[in-house]
Formats: sequence, structure tokens, C-alpha cells
Amino acid sequence: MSRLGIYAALAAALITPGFSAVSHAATPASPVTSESTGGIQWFTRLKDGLAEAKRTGKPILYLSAAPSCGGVPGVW
Amino acid sequence: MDRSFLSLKSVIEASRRFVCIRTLTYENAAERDFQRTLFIGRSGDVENTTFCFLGPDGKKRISWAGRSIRQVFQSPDQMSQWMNQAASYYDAQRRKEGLKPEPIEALPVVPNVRLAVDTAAADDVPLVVLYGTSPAQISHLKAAAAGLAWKPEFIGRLTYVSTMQASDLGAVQLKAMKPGYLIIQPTKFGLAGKLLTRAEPAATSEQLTSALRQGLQEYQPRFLQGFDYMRAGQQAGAFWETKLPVTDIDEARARERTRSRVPHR
Repeated sequence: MSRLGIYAALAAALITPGFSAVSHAATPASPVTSESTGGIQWFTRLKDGLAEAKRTGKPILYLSAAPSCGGVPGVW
Repeated sequence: MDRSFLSLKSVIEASRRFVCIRTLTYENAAERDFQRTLFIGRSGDVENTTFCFLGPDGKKRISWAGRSIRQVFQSPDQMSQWMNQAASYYDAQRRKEGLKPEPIEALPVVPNVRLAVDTAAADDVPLVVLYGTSPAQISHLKAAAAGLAWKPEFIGRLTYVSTMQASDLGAVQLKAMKPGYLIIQPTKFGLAGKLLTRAEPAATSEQLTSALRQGLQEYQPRFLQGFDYMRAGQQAGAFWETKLPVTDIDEARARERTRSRVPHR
């Protein structure tokens, strides 16, 4: 499949029939995380993550988030 | 940040095939400018959160961008399936180019100790501070920690930061520390830290592994969640001053309400 074709397929897969609103409030951690899985290991500095993506050829899961909510620190 | 998706096993497993970047909103101007290129909220500027998948060049969007994951995917299963499809596509691209798979090797570090304690508190994991007295020593500490950070035992369970400044440690109430690997419990709503255990700068891989295990065992998870945590933080007067102006309308209002309840500010 061509690059354009795969991109179109990926884009089509993203067309979801209904978007739901998201609460701004912090949500408790889901209990579903497996003990053996650990969590997502995040690069926090953009330049470090971009450099590693270029080196490895891996796509990027990008998120920006503030580790404070309503001014209270220590929570997403 | 939508932990209902990001803490699920299928999404976490799929994330191993990606470089996962989570910048800290309102803390770095260049990163805010990057965020602006992906999503602008109703205020006309960046909001608290932005989510998107990108190609390895960091420029090509391969998904829609939005404030939250729920604006892009209906369910964690849909998200993880899509992630695996996308990762397989890029794996195939590398094979076509005759390139071998390259594992992620770099140590992901938070920009500074203050932010690192806050981030570790938000993720509810221990913080590993690589405290050295010279650039060469920091490089050594980073290389040793990077050798363990991506192993299944430790991946996604620890946050990392490096510093050569004792004042950085003092800023989060860690005083009179000797150089080495300091495994820290975030305290005071992510504004301070407490030493759980440490390893010497010359620790072997086995010794560092043992120290990390001990830190994880001694770590006390947060018991307050959601609004209970927020209320307790407000009552304790815990307040986070961002480096950049907060441009999310709802968040800016919430911050002012919290600020008005903190007597000494």
C-alpha cells in the first residue's frame, strides 16, 4: 500500500461517529493497569523525544498536559 | 490528561511501539509554540491539554489533534488497535529501507527538579534524581540509569531528572544530599520530596537495580484522588505558579479561585 493509501486508511479509522465531551476535572487512575505492564514511559522534553523518534523511526504519541489542576500541583 | 485511556494495558502495550512525548503545558515557550501548531482552543491559544499522533519526523500528523483523546478515539480498544496499525506501517517502512528496528535508549528526563517532583506526584510514581558534581559524572549516571529505564521491570514506573545544583534539591526540601542516585517520594502535593533510598555514583547495574526496587517497594501511593485531592491541596495552600501565562479559560478561572483561598498569596 502506498504511503498515501495507508495514511488514508489510518485517517478513515479515526473518523468516529460521535465525539464525547471530556471533563476537565482530574480523574482517578484506572485500576486496569497490569502489574506486569508498568505505565507509559514519557519523554518530557520535546527535543529529546523528537530526536529519539528520528533515530528509531518510531511514530510519536504526543501529549501536552499541565501537572497541576486549578493551581493545585501534583495532579494531571 | 485522560488517564482512563492511558492507564489501560492495551494502550500501554501499544505505546511501547511509539516514542511517547508528554510536554508540560505552560512551562516552556518553545514547546508551547509547538503545541500551538497542533491545536488551539476557544481562547485562541493553547489549552491545558493537547493530543495528537505524529510521524517519526515530528511534523507529519497521522491523527486528528484535539484537546483530549476522547475527541479522537471512542474507546481504548479502538485507540490501541489504531496504534498497532500505525506502528506496523512504520516498521514496514523501515524494513523497506533496509533498516533494522532500533529500541529506545535515551533516558527521559524532566527539565528540572521542581517540575520533576510535580510530575512524579501527578503520575504517582517515585522520582529518581541523578545528582552529580560534574557533566562527566551526570553523563555516567544517565547512561547507567538509561540501561535500566526501558527494562520491563522499570518502564513507566519511575520519573527521572538530573542536576548538579544542591540548590535544586533544596528547593524541594532535599538537603545535605551526597551525589548519586536519589530515589524520592514526592510529598506536599508535589512541592517537596523525601529520600526513600539512594545508590552511590559508582553503583554497579545490580546495585542500582536493587536501589530502584527498594524505592518502588517503599513508595507510598497517593491515597487521595480527584476532588478529594484538590480540596486537600487547596486547604493546605498548595499552589503551582506556571512559568508561562495560563491560556485555558476554565483553568485560569479555577486557578484564580484557588489563589483567592490561599491566605499568604
